[in-house]
Amino acid sequence: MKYVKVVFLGLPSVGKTSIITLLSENRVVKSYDPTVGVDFGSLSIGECEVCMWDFAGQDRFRFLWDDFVRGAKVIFAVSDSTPKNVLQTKKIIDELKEKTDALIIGIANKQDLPGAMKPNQVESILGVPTYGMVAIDPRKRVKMYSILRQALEEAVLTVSN
Amino acid sequence: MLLGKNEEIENILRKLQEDAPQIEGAAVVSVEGLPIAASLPPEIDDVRLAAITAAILSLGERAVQEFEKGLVDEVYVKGSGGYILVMGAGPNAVITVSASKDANLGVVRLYMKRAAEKISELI
Ligand SMILES: Nc1nc2c(ncn2[C@@H]2O[C@H](COP(=O)(O)OP(=O)(O)OP(=O)(O)O)[C@@H](O)[C@H]2O)c(=O)[nH]1
Ligand SMILES: [Mg+2]
Repeated sequence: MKYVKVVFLGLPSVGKTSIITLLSENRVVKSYDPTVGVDFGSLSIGECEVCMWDFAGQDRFRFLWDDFVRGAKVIFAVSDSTPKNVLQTKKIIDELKEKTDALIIGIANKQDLPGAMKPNQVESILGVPTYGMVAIDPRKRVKMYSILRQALEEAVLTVSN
Repeated sequence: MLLGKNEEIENILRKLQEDAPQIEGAAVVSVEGLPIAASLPPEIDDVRLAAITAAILSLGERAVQEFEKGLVDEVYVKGSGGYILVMGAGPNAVITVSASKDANLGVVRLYMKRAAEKISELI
């Protein structure tokens, strides 16, 4: 499986574009510039060419998600680790599970902010494997890269072509 | 020797560029946005292009539905330096080409449509 489609979705401003920019351009996103429609990043991991689909989180773009999620092997559901946002993300994941057999992974982003829920707390609510992240910390790129690589390995083993 | 499907599609793309030299690059991608075959300048990121191409056609479909204009035939983008055309190639694939600023779009479209038909028989 040379080419792999990976999707990042979640509510507005949780850090989807920040994570993808950190991975594909090794750059930190400082200001919030909402994604319009959809955006893309790419990354080579070993033999794999990964295309990362960066969904727009704002409400008015949500109707596009069903179309754009087709063919994804891995879906990252990104949350900003605040209780309200985590609960809303849980709802998104539950709806998603009915539409796709992709591997779904939770990202508990913004771990640097005071009051952020711990990744294991977020995981127990989301009901999918979840990792903590700080997408504005360039040192975290290595961690995000290995989360992605591990997810790809798992998806290739468990998800049929 | 029998050619693999991807090689056959690459041949179709090469032929397309021979027939219509104003076409500078061409790619065929899956409707999910993954690369299938391409004949592109080396500086182009084929993985990102595949995703962009599938999304353009998907948004074109949506726009045509909203305006109640039937089914999408093609999406056409004009840049200051040339054109991008995107067309469905059967239910599972999408073809995109870039053409120079002075290209004759009627000619480009005609050859592109023929290529799309051939590709739709293969995929
Ligand atoms: N403190 C903190 N801020 C972050 C972190 N990650 C991202 N941000 C900031 O939060 C904002 C998020 O922006 P984006 O990454 O564009 O958000 P998005 O999820 O792509 O939003 P939409 O495109 O609207 O769906 C930016 O201002 C980032 O600098 C983090 O881990 N900690
Ligand atoms: Mg964004």
